[in-house]
Amino acid sequence: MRFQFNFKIFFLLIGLTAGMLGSESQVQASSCCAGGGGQMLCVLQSEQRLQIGMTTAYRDTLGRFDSSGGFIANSGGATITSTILQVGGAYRFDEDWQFGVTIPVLQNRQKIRGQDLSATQIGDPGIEARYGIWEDLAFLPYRPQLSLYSGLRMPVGTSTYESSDPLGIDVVSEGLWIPYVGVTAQKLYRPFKVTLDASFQYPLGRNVTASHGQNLSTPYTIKSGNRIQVVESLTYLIDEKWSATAGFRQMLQLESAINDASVAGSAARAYSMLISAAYTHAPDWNFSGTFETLAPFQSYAANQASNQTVSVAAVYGGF
Amino acid sequence: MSRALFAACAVVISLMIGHASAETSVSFSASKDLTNLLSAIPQEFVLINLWSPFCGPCGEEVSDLNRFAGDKRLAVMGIAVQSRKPEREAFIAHFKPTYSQWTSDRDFEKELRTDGLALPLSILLDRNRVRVKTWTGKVSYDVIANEVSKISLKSKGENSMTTRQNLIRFGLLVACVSFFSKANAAKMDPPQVSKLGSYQVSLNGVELKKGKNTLLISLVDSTGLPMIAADLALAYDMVGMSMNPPVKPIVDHGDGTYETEVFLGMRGNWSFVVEVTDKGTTDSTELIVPVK
Repeated sequence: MRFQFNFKIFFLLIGLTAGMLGSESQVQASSCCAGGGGQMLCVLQSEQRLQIGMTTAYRDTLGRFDSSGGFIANSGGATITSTILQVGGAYRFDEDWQFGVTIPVLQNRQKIRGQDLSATQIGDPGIEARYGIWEDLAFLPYRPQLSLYSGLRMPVGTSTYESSDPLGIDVVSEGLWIPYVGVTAQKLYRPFKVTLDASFQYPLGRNVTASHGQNLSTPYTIKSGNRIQVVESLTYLIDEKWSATAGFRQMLQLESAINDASVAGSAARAYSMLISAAYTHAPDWNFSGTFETLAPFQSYAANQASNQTVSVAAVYGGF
Repeated sequence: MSRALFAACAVVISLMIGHASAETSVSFSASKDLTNLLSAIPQEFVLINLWSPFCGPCGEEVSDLNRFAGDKRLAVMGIAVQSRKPEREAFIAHFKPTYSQWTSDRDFEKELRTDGLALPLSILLDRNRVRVKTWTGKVSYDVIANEVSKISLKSKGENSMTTRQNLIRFGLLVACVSFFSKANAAKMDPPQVSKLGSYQVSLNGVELKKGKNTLLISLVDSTGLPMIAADLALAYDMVGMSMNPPVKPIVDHGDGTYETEVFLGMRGNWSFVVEVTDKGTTDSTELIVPVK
């Protein structure tokens, strides 16, 4: 029997996966850096040599938004949740350069029609290099801390191409190599700290020869849409140990292409709000908690999962 | 070895001169290095000031810290943290601190910031290079100077007390025998028990005459042992009068006897009120002495 493949549904799934997966590392980086953005769990401050961190996130997927922004609840009233554990670290080469790595482990769970299904997989690790251009100078009111970064997410985890699970519970990856570049600007206007992070992701094309464990009679090449993400956040320094952050994230994904032909309706966007609190126990220890939701901007979402995520992070830099 | 010695001398000289408008390139690698540097600073006090270029109050207090240039009591040492060299140099070029500037490694910075994470952080070290005061946030010249003065006065007071005690002991060594003989030779009144019964006091009342006298006070505690270094106060006046005669300092002879000079202007009955304070409790005795 010839296998018929529905590209639209496929790209919807890709976008959904991207929305479900991509937001996690971004959330952790936001909470780690008190809203500082970036794609890594750990970003070193000046003079820090080495940092290791861990974050645990709980994500509740309520449904998805279609290409028109219409909300579609989980089919069959399914409950879809994920627990994401990320470990990472950053190392400083010199005053200007640092290198970071993040490795996620995801446990996906679905409760549907009385069945409780779960799968745990290693997700897509990321590596990143960051170059510091400027440090914040208090006496120059418009000179922020400015850094450029570039990294790569590697398709190590199980994607829809490898997964044989019809429900895709074990899918933890987009299956794509995703290089990215970004810039972070941060300025302290005590007691507030303003942060702006912008990044561009360029998912590399993939030659698909199999899907759901089955060889395709007609292989094809897919190119997931390029993505732009901007995060603006405002941190209030309550005292020398506590801070609170409110942020706004915008993610836009351009249309994807199959065999170099754009797929109409495959573009995606999501606007989310995040709030975070951080506690600096000592120069070595930082703890934070973050909550991210599409509300109240859910009406602007398209081809995205409707997620609510709570995460906690701990970072140690006492080296 | 000679090179190291030369370098160390250069550092010491630069510290003594106190100039560092250009950032020094010396870094601390361990507390031991700082210990060696601090011990070479001639001033009695050292103020370690931690700052960072992103910290606004750090720049605002530079002018106050510059006022300690040439101060004979206090030397200021600035340590830049959480910063890169270009920004440190920009900060120094903008605010022009005249005190020495250093960088430190992460381990040393953690040692210094045990009292807090805020910047600026100022740590005052005494002559023994022990931390005696820490300020977080901007601190002014007056606050630092007042603290230094307060600590200096306290040190002098303690030294004075020590000196006084030593003099007392020395005097005791030199004149103990003669004085003890004198005390034994003095005719003392029968001892009188204090109001609360914590001690007995006796005076050389029978020897007192009109005019200037040497009053001897003998104190023994409830067990009969001489009370040495007692917190003793004396008030005296003619019975029924308010002459307010002068009260001279009381000399402790270290053997339970005390001596002071009293002026008895008239013949008649004089009241001597002896108060002894021990562990916050004051016990008093009034002795009436007829003076001829």
